[in-house]
Order: sequence, then C-alpha cells, then structure tokens
Amino acid sequence: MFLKLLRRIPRTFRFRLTVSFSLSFIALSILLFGFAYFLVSSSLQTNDRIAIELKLKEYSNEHQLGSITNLKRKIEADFDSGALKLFMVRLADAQNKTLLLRQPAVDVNYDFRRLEQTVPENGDWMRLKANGEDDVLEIATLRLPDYNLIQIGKGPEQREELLDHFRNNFLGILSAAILLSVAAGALLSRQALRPIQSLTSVLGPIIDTGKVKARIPVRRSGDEFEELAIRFNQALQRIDILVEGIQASMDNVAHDLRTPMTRLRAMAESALQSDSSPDVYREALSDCLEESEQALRMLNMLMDISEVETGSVRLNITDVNVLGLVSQVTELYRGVAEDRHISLQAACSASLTVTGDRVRLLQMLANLVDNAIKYTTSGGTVQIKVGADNTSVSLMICDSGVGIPDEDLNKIWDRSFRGDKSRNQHGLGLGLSLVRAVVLAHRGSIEVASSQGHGTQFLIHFPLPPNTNDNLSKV
Amino acid sequence: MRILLVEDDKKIAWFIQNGLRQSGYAVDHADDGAKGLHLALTVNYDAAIIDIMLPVRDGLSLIEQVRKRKVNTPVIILSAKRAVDERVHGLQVGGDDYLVKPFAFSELLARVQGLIRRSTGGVEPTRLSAGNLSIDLLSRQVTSRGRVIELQPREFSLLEYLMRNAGRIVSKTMILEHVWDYSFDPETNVVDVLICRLRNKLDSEGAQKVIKTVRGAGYVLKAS
Repeated sequence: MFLKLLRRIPRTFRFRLTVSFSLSFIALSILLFGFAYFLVSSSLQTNDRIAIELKLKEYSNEHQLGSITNLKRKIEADFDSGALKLFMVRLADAQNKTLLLRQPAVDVNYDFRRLEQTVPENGDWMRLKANGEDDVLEIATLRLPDYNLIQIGKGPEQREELLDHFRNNFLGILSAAILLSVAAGALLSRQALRPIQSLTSVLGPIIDTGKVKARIPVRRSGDEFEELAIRFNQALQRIDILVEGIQASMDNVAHDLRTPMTRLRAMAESALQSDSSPDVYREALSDCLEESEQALRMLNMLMDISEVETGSVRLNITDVNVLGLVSQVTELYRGVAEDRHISLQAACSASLTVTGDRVRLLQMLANLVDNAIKYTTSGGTVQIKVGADNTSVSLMICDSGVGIPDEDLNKIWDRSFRGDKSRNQHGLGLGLSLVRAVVLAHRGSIEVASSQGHGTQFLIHFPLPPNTNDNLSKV
Repeated sequence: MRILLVEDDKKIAWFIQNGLRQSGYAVDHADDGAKGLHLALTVNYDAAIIDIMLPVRDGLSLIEQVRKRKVNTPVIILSAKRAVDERVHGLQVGGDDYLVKPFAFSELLARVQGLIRRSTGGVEPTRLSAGNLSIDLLSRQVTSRGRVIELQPREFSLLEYLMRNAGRIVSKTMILEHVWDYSFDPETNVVDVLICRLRNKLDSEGAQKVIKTVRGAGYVLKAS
C-alpha cells in the first residue's frame, strides 16, 4: 500500500508542480549568482589595475623628485611596511637588466627572469604565468625619464581568496535556497491544488455511490477554480435532472405498463381456465391483441417523451413550414371532428416557417388538437391560429370544451395526470407531457389558459432566429 | 418465391416462418449472422428478413457484406430500436425497408410483398377490383355494381390502400402511414372514424360489409 503510494507520487501533478517550481527557483538563483560573480570578479581586477597604476604614478613622481636610489629606498620602505605585500616590483635599467626585484609574498612560483627577455612598451600590460599553476601575474610597465624601467605586478591570489569566500557562501545559500524552494513549492502546489482536491474528494463518493445530489463547495474567489467548481456543479445538476427524469419515466413505464399487463394476463388466464368454444378463444385473443397494442402505444409515447426531454436522440432540425404542419394535422382530424360535430378551423395567414424537427412538431400539434377535440362537446369549435411578430412565431390552439379547473392547470403536464379520471377516456395524460417536452426542446414556451365550461387555450411561442426579416415581410 | 429469415429469437422466427409459409412462400431460417451471410451469398432469394441484433455477426454488417458482393436481394431490417437515426443507418448500409419490433405479421407480409413487387418490376395496374367493387386509379372513380360512389380524397386513398391489399389484414399504423403520412398512433382513433365513413358510403351503395374489422389487428377488405 505504502509502496504503491510512493510509486504513484512522481506521477502526481502536485509532485511535478513542486519539482518544476524548485528547479526554476534554483536555476534562477544560479543565474543570479553567476552574474554577481562575474561583476565582482571583474571589478576586483579593475581595482587591482587601478592600484598598480596609482603606485606606478607614485614611484614615477618619487623618481622625478629624487634619484633612483631614492626610489629604491621608497620601494624597500613600502615592502617593509607591508603595504605592497602581494605586489611584485621590479626596477630595471635601460637594457632591461634587473636592478631591484621584490616578489609578492605568495606560495606561487613565478619565473621573474623571463621579464628580462621581453622589453615591454610603455603602458603595456604583461601577463606572467606562474610555474605549474594557473595563476597569472599582471604587470604594468613604466619607463622612467632616465630610461630605467619600473614594473609593478599583482597576482590573482587576493582576488581568488575573496571569490573563494564568495563561492563558499553561495553554496551554503544555494543549499538553503533549494530546501526553501522545495518547501515553498510543496506548499504552493498544495495551496494551488486544494480546490482540485476538494473537487476530487466530493466527486469520488458521488461517482462511487451515484448520489448526484451532492454539490462541490464553491469559494467565491472569482478565479478559475470557482469557475470550474460552478461548471462541475452545473454538470452534476444536469446529470441529476437526467437521472431523475429516467427514474421518473421508469416509474411511469412500470406503473403504466403494469395495468395492461395485468389485464393481458387475466384475459389469457381466464380464457385458458374454461373449456370454451373457439369463438370465446378468438374473442380472448383479440382482447389480448388490443391490450398489447395499447401497451405498446404507451411505451412508444413514454420513449418519445424521454427522448425529447433528455435529448438522447438529436432533433432533426430543418426549416418547417407551419402551414404545412397545420394542414396535415387538420386533415388528420377532419373526419373525427365532423363526426363529433365539432368545427375544426385553422387560420394560418402566410407561409411562416419555424426551425425545428418536423416530425416532433407534427406530433406536438397533433397531440394538442387531439386533446382539444377530446374535451370538446358536440357543436363546439377547435381553432388553430398561427401568428408571428418580430421575435417569435406563435401557435394558439383554442377549444370551446369543458375547460380545466384552476387547481388542475399546473398538473396537466404531469405524465400521470388525467383530466377527469372518472371518464374512461383513452387519454393517458402523456400527450401533453410530450407537447411540453417538444416545445422546450425547441426553446419555445407554452402557456395554458382555461375557464371552466368555456374552453381552453394553449399558446405556444417559438423564438425566431435573429435574421428572419424576409420571413416577416411575407406576413 | 424463397425468402431468407435471419432471426435468433426462436419464437419470433417460428411465427414469421409459419406465417410466410401459410402465405405460400418458401422460407430458409438462419439463427445467427454468419449462417445468414452464408445462405444469402449461396442461395438466390427473392427477399430477406434480417434482424439487427444477432449472435456471431450483426445484421447491419451482414447486409453490408451482402451488398459488397453485389447481391441485390431486397432486405427488410427488423429492429427493436425505433430511433430515426437507426432507421437511416439501416437503410444506408443497404436495407430496403425497416420494421420495428413488435410488429403485426400482416404488416411484415405487406412489406415483403411490396418489396418483391418492386424488385421484379411488376406493372402498376390502373384498375383495382374486389368483389363487385372497382376503382379506376386514373380517374379516381369508384363504382359498385355499375353505380358511382362519391368519396372524399382521404376516403379514396384508404379504399385504394385496402384494395391493393385485398384479402390481407392492414393494421392501423399502416393505414396512418399510407393515408396521412403520419407515423404515430394518435390517442383519438382517427382510423376508425375514416373506416366508418367509408363503410357507410360503400354500404349505402350496396357493397355490403366489404371491410371487416379484425379486432386487435386491423382491417381487411374481402377479396371477392
């Protein structure tokens, strides 16, 4: 278990975040140090040169004031006082023969005889390499007015000592910085990933148990994590709705199918029990067929509703001619309306179009007209009115039927609701649920108004897409 | 006429086989996709009825294979899925017709006959007659014992459909699809109402009870 966890660590985002933070911190530190080191080392070198040049000037002045003996004495005095401890001073005659040589008090061995072999130009810088070491003595030369030469040089030893110090300090600081950056990186990534961790800890149980009611706590920080949490919650909400929808439709299917199934069973059973004539069997079989047809119809309707509601089957969106829809539906119900002495009227003034799934819209309108005819008594009217304004196409289905009691108006959309349960209508209360599902799937709105004894109006609005001015001009 | 049936459910297969044999067809039955494919490629069938959900090889890939080998036997797809996408997909891979389970056998039979008629290129008749009823498809005139019966357009198309299928049961959904081009079953029984009107008009002109109701199954127009 622990090993497994350990093996997992290098793959975690938190680990990678920490490492990359530390690495960049360290890289930056090294870069900064390198720059500082370069600056310090070059300024030390410049300092040395300035010191050498100043000394040269001083000796030249001394020479001008006195004689070469004076100068020699001055040099000796300087060395004895320790002021020139790390310097080399050489005095030579016009032929570059050494008159005086004072060596720097260092552990490095320079071959000063080589200085006699090259006659340097006035003001040149010479470099004298140490024997067997990397150290280089930098030497400046000045020719005195009496053609004697004076050379002063200094090795890197003092600078090196300083830089060594600098380097050693830096190593200490760097190791502290590494520790600090790892700690800071760990802390930072922990802080940064805390919202994700809380997301994971909430999502885990949801996924394990399927309880989609839980929500991720949203911290009002206004950052990306708040956005993420909000989005996750929206997704959970959507899943919740879908799951509830599926649950509800399963319940409905189970409930609605149980009745016809029970009847089917009963019919078949009773026919089998008695020793009857073929006619009786035939009758029972016909009953069974009818009942199964009924069950199938209901199943289809429930499937239609849940397909439209959950969007599990995509709508086949095209431009649908409203007049075409209306006339197909009135044609379908003309006979029934005439039979029942109901006047079925349609008023669709122009060739309006809505964008939508033609089949679903047809089903929707047919269900509304079906419903209207069902609840309208002989001599009444059912009207379909189509209109449009700047933003929407409206469909109104009015009947002069029995109306819906106020207390039932909100319930008509429920799948299991049936207007007047005592009347054994074929209506299953599913039609209006489908109507609403289709309207909502098309981003439309549906309202119902009813007065008992006078009739009911269903008013549907479908939004028009923004650029349909040509559509309007035809109205 | 020989028909291939590929269906794994034994009861459904028996029911279809039995029905087709009673209607005078020879039927070969395969209970999985591989056997079905073998039969489809080796025997020359007049039509094939193929279920989508099959063991070994599914119906759609079977049809695809059959079409790839340039076998043009008309195919009816049987499926428990009724989504439009499924239907379209089935027809795209080479099916000629699509029937959703559960179905009425009469509907399957009508579709099989329709397919065979189409694939053999039968001549479209201009007149249909059954008993003492006859209709002229060009002038759209209906006569019974020489007397003209006035029918509304929908009544005419219903009668035409029944007469084309004279002697066979047509279900309510078949009528809805053919007469109104409507593929759902409305709550109000619009088919009953139209049948009733047609009956009244025919009966009043002496064509006594030519249209029979077969309870739970549909309607049938007497062939003679």
